[in-house]
Amino acid sequence: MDFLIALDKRLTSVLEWVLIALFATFLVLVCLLVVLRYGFASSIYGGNEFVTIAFLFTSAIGGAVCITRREHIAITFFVDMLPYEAKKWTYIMGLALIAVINGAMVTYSIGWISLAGHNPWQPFGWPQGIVHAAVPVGCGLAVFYCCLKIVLTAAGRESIDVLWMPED
Amino acid sequence: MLILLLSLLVLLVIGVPIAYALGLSALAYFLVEQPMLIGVLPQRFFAGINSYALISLPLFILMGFVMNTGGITGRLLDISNFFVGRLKGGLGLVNVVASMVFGGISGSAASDTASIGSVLIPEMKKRGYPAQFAAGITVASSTMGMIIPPSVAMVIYAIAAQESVGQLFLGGVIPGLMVGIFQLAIVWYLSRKNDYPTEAVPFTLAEAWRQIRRSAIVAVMPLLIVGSVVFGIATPTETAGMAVAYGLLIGFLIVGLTSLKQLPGAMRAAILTSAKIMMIIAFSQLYIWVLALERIPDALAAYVISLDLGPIALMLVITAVILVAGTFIDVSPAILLLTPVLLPAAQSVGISGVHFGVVMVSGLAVGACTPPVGNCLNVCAAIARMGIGEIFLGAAPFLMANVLVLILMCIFPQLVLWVPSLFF
Amino acid sequence: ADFTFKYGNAQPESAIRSQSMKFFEEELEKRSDGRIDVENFFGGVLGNEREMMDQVTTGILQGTRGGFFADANPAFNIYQLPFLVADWDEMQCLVASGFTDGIEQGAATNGYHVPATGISQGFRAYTNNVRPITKVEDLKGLKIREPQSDLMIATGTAIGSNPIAMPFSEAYQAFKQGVIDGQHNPPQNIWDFKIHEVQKFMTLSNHMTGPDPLIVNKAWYDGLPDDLKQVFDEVAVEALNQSDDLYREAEGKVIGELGEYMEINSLTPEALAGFQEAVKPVYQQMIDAGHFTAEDIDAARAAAASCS
Ligand code: NA
Ligand code: NA
Repeated sequence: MDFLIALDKRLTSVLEWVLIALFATFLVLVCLLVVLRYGFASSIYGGNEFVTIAFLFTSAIGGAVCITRREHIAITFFVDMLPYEAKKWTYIMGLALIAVINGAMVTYSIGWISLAGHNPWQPFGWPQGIVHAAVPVGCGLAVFYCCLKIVLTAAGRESIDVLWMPED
Repeated sequence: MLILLLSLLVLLVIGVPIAYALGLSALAYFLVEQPMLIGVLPQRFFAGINSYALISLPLFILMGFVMNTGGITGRLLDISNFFVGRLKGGLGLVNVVASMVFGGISGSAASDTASIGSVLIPEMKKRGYPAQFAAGITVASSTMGMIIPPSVAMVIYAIAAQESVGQLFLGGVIPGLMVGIFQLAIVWYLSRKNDYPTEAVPFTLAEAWRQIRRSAIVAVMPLLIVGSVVFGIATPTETAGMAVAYGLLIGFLIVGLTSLKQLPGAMRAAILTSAKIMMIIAFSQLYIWVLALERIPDALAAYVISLDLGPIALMLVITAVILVAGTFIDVSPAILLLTPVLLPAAQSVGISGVHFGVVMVSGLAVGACTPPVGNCLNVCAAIARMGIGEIFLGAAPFLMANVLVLILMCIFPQLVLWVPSLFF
Repeated sequence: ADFTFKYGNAQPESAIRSQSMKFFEEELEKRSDGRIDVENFFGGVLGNEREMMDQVTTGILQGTRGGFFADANPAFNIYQLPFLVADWDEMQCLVASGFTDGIEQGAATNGYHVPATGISQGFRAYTNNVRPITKVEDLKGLKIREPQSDLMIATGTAIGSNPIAMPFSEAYQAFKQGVIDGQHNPPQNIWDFKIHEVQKFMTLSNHMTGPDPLIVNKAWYDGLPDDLKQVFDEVAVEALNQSDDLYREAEGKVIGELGEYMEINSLTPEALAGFQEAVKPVYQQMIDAGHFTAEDIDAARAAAASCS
């Protein structure tokens, strides 16, 4: 169990630094594009597309991190009224369901990317499958986190006082 | 079709996060009714997150965090106190005025609650205001953060409805200011009735000038942001990026290096906040695709036309739906769920997407202050160490101002549409 | 019905493209005795053009019309070459020719069936706020809005303008603020996006048009019995012919209405020759990109001229 807890912490910390790096990249690029346009009447070819790619990977990976961070928006009003054991198993069932939908996304993205993935992504002309990969990457991480949390919660190593944080 | 609605309801009640509940009920629909089309799932998820315009979301959120440093909030409170503190119920009025100004630099109501509430609620209690009054006015006035531009909620709506961000920003100006003015009137009335204290702030022209100079660097922010979006100087995404840079600069000038040390943490928080909204957007795309496939919005629009209600009556009905939905669902999921269903119906009787959007966001702002689900209440409960029911009762008199503005907006669309019509 | 043909495009129901597909729906359902059920989804409710194209690729949708025809066959790009054909007559001749049949058949290797190809909206015209364009030199230095397209930007550069890529939806505002001087689009688009309200001059340069193939998932089409395949292809040709005729008719009408807002001029033969000379490097650039050859261009022109 201690190993799983350490794994959760380490992986999350690494992913969060990846997210910060991607965020910093598109923040700087977005500002740079404005400065270039007004200061030098020029642009970076495909700049906006690159920013978009960085952003969609950030969202897909961030969505998975939000599972372990319990950042997702949920209506916990009713579950909070349940007794401890019932609440714990309802939470575990919810995690299993999250794993199911994310697993479905990974499964069905295989057929999608193999068929539509070779069409070109404008304006780079890359196969768009490279960008589509954000879906299986993000959803695959989400499945992994769900499994991790199910084991830890079932073993009583996770607090279930606050299941999901509200929006801020 | 029934499976889509029922499964969503059950999943939400058992506490499955809204994003995944939407995805799961779409999955259930495909498995039962359209197994041949199930391959569309990852495509719609991708379509949801593949948006240049939505990049403004984490940027506006980060801007809010960056501007939320102690020094900046402090300057806004100082100037508000200087100008209205000496009146009856001074700190109550300061609370509203500060939220009007802060609303212009923050994209969300909850960040307004947090930054102003953490300073003013303890201060108001110390000066003898009832805790319920202090927390209530803090929560109710923070709704302006969402209505007065910039507003993250308006950006989300703009994308859901394919409307112009600039027009929506401008559409929120008059309703936002009206909420503030009506709330000031309510504070003033209650303060006279209950004999709340005044603040001793001697007025000199020199001091007035000093206060204006100190705050100008912060207070020009809303004008810069709205101006940039409305005049097309930069896209909303670029504007948000530049606003972050400006916020960092001000933070650095006012509180020095500490503001930069907090940056990675603020970025992490902003990206996770944005990611959880993006997941709702991604999975709601599956759900909306099924609705379109089943032609539900068309059917609803046809039904509404058959009712022959007229725009004002329909807008009032929609406002009621929004207020009820807002008590149970948070702001961004509510926008994403209700827009594709209700907007075609509204448009079928000639209601403009901008009018509809500003009414929806203003209505959901009220929902953010009502139990059982209200993020402003949650934030305030943590700051003031009070129950959310208690805070809501304190906020209720001031939320009357919001409801009044909502009704006026339904009857007089020009309250929303006049300012955008000057520029677009 | 034995077969369902789900079709989507991004334009609203009132648009000509959608109207011609409503004709397609009625005719195909009637002439297949109800064995094929056509379900049309307009206004992009199932996705944008890129996404609908991918849905046809993966068999979620059975058909679409839109801007991503190059996925079916990159050779479709040839129809967008500046000054490839002289006028509507030539273009209508070209899309009905054996040359176009060849490109349509080429889409089969990529998994698509293209039963018919139409003309996308008609011919492009320049508008601007600086001066009437009477010869190619008049475009020199003008800031012209271009879509994010290599071909268009290359053409804009070749004729000496200063191409600025931006979404069309932002062009109106950009004109009001004087950020850009002009743009080019088919007259119907100019009308729909109210560009005439913020522009002074329009030049009927007819410099460019585009293909509008009906792109169908080949696996679905191959599943039809032979008699239905034949009916399907026939109705598709009729629907796209109707589409072309409607666009052509509407173009004449809308130019008349635009004349009340802008000063409109056409190109003299000498001016036209100047334009045609200026865009020659674009042809070589596109050939170098590998989508088609110089022989293909000659063949296309011969096909376009074969009707007269
Ligand atoms: Na705001
Ligand atoms: Na609420």
